[in-house]
Amino acid sequence: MDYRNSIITFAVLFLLVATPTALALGISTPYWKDHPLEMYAGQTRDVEFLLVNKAGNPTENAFVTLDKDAGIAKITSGTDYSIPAEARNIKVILQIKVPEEANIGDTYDVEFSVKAAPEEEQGGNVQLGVGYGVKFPVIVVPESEAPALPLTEQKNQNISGTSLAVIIIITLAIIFVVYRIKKNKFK
Amino acid sequence: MFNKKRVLYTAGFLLLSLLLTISAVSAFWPFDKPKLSPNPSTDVQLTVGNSAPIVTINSVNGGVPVTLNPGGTQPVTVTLNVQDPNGPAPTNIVESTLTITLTSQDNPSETRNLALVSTDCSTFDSVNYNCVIDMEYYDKSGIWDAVASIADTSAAVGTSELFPFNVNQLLDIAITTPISFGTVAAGEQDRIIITPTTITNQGNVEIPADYSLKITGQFLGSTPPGNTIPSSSLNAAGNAGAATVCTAGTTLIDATPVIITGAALTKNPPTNTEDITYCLDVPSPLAEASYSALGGGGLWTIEIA
Repeated sequence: MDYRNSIITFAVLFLLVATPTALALGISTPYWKDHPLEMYAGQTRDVEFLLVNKAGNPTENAFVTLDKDAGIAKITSGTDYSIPAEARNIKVILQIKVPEEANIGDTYDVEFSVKAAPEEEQGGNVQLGVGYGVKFPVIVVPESEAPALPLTEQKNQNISGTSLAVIIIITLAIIFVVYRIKKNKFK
Repeated sequence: MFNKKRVLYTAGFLLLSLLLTISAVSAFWPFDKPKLSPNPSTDVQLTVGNSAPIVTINSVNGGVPVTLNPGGTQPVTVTLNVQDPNGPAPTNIVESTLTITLTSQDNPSETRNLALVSTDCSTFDSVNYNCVIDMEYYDKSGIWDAVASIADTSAAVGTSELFPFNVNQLLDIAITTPISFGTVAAGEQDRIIITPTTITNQGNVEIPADYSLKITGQFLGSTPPGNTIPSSSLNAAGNAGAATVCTAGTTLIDATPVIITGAALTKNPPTNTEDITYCLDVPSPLAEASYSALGGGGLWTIEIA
């Protein structure tokens, strides 16, 4: 084939259906460069970021990756998300655990990215997705100066506490029953 | 001879008479007379002045940071209590005078106000109000203050203390997709893509002040497979650099985010859009075929980071 004068057809067939459409997805973040997360040494928190989608938009699929954990962060809510229109409550949860030996004033930079791809084939030569790089510093402060937990986090912690209490009660009940059975056997 | 009994009775009578006399006289005699005003019917006057209502904001958005609505308005509920020292609040205050203002601490020129009390507020008892104020998607992130005031029937105005609350940062862009090149020739240079990618900022961050606008390109693959065009065959530029995109635009790199220099996105409409223009240098030699990103390295990403 003579390449020099050849005409390249860039997706001529695709062009017929390649009407530009809008792709959108967003993330609401409580912490950023100028609004750091303040925690004390030894503290563990589940920090929530909300994936949002505009009314009238199609459902968007997103993929979340932790780009910089700084040795203190991990994603606990999974990596794949489906965000329907008008969504405000799809949570990306990062568990942040500040080391016990951290000093007041230490700063940890955490970064994660969110990427969304169009759900349907849209033709054209280059298909585009949107992405966001979320970066925020975690600053170690004295325990007395650490901000109170947001209401949503308090609720989560209460649920965890209740679950823990139930587990402890069930475990004690089992131990008690086993103990009684063994005691009866020896009689 | 004195009758002893008679003497005793007489003495008792005299003593009793003396006591009665003293008692009667003391009623008129100024023994411990206080200094009274000349007017025997003294009027004690006390004026109770009017006090302004006391307004207390109890919560904003239920105590949760505000998540704005991409490209739209987000209703934010302010809960407040009104008391009037001069009597029951409902009869002493003028509800229609209630105002609520939300102000960004970082940029005090950014404010949101209660629109209309009669439609945007409700009372869940006679002194507690829930009022809804719409915030816009482009309202600045950070700490805001809420303040409320109301007048009583004597036009005395009571104002609450500042009540701080947080507005989250919203990263949200809408982009037009896909990019179509049409038909080009192998070796063709400086081919400007007719339809740019339009980016609309639906959040409250700005480029380049807060973040950068980046594109991650991927190589294009042919159908049928066997040939590729690297994304480095394209330059990209924002509005400001559109005229010189072929000579001064940012050259893309496969699988690597690159910052589109000169790209700018403000947060306030109507200037919250940016067009990304592309310039293509078609490699040569190159086989005749259809080329696409999905047939090659995959989706391109336009990113705020």
